[in-house]
Amino acid sequence: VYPQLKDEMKSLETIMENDSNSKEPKEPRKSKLPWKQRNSIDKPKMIRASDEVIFKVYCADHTYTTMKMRVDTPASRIIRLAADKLGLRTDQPDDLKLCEVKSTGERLLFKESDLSISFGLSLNGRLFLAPGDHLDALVPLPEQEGPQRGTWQKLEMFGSKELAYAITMHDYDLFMAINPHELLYQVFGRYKYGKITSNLDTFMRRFNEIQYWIVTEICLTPSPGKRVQLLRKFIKLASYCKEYRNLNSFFAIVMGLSNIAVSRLSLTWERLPSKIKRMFSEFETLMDPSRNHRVYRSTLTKLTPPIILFMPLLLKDLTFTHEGNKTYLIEGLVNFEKMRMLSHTMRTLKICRSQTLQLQVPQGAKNLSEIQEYVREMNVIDNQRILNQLSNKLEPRQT
Amino acid sequence: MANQGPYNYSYIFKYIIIGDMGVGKSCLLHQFTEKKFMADCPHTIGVEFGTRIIEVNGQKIKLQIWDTAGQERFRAVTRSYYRGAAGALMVYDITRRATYNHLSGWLTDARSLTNPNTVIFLIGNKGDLDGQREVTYDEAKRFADENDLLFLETSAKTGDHVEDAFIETARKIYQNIQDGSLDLNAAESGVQPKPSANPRSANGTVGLDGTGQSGDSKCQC
Repeated sequence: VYPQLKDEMKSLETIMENDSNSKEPKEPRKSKLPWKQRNSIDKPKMIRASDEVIFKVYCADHTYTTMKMRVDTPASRIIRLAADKLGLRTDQPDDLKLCEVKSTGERLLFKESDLSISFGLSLNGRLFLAPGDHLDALVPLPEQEGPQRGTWQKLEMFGSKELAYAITMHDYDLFMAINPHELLYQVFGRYKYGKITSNLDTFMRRFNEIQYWIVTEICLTPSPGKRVQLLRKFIKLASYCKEYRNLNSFFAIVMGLSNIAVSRLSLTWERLPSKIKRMFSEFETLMDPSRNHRVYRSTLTKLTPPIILFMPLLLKDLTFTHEGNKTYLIEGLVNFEKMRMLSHTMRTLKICRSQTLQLQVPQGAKNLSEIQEYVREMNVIDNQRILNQLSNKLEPRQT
Repeated sequence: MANQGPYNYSYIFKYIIIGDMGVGKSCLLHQFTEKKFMADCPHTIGVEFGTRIIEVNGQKIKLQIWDTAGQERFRAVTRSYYRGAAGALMVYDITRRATYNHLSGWLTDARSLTNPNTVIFLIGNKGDLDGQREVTYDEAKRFADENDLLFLETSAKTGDHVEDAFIETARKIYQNIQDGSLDLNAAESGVQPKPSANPRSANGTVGLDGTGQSGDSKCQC
């Protein structure tokens, strides 16, 4: 659609190259399944195109094959190899389609040229392979529904400050692994460039993961008393994340608590101490999107780096600037105003990452290694319908 | 803005624009609001932007439009924008069937997260690419009728029907106010009378634009 954009990206990349302070690891390494429980707690590192990733591809009958491929393997090749391994044959070889089935049953088809597919899946999404005219028959696996029991007992043992610390340390590693170019690929149309955006995908996924974790845990805590305690803990957790300048998780937590499945639990909310309630309404003010997130933007300018910023808004700003403004003016003249605006937004990211995070381990921290392991991979329900049902069971609708 | 005083309107209506990635949500918004900036800002629109004052039945109404472009992967973030929306523009791309197939998901969100009076307008965008069409007008029209949605095909590129979609939505909201089916005192109606007449509402989420109008939606040229 925009053949000229390719050239433009190249020049943008050159500009960014000088800007970029990202350090690429020298050794290729294996990336694990994004949704798979990790045994060790290795620090997440930058994912590179040449890394190998392990993922599963399912058939309509829920049998699967495990694939191990480079991150930048295009969908077309995954289709071919998975079809061989699964013994799927069709009369027309092009007829097989690779698609994501979300926990809601929604299906998203991949284009043959799509790359780095396993990182781009939704939280409980899975990859399926099927003939084009059988896609309607694909249904989610039972495991995609998410957990049936919460971890409130475990969370009772964890301090909110320690949790915030562990979450922030982990988020910081994911945040620093993002290559700024990935943001441009994402905004300009990721599939035009044949480059991976796995690090950005992972960070975006993290936002959703934290958010649904909050909703899931509240909805899976049957005892009203325990639920009040957990709600209180999550509000304090948000407060510590804010203190640590981890705004991405701060927003994820607050948005999780504002999710209809949580916010409607009025019997739970009314039992909160008024101080905590006040704290939460202050947080909601920060999240207020009116006047283009004015409150958040002015808060951001007052903080000093390192800051883990609220990524969804950065992406929105870039998208808005890109979609709404012509790249070329008359006679192929580059719209520098637009480029300047894009670089202005990109610079925000650079400033936020300009200092190394040095957090002190909270005093008297208990269970820290257990907490660190816990926050790395959260088991969540990402289907709003199920969450609403659970919530309605906890506090039935008043008539 | 010089000849149109910032307080010179009777209502604020809040809109949200939703739909899949790449259907042209931002383009629609730009197309609709650009006119206002045409004179002094021909090329480039900053992110501080998203309002326009229109006239319906002789009443000046300020539309405050919340775009969700770039945030499609954060479904839960877009959900936070629904609160207090009086109008929702639900956009798909007539040349990409998948974006049409996903409408039911967007509609579920819009219905469950807004009040029953929220006007939902279905927009089939990229009407200028008729040759690559994958969704017929009739099919989408049927879907709209079945779900009680207003419907138009637009082109954010040429500007065709863009204005109509935004204004028809406002007209419908205004009509709901007139016939009393939309209660302005309801916390999340998405409509605010003139700022002076309405100090901050109790829940603190709709008291948007009371002060400092000048900083709002300014052109960054």
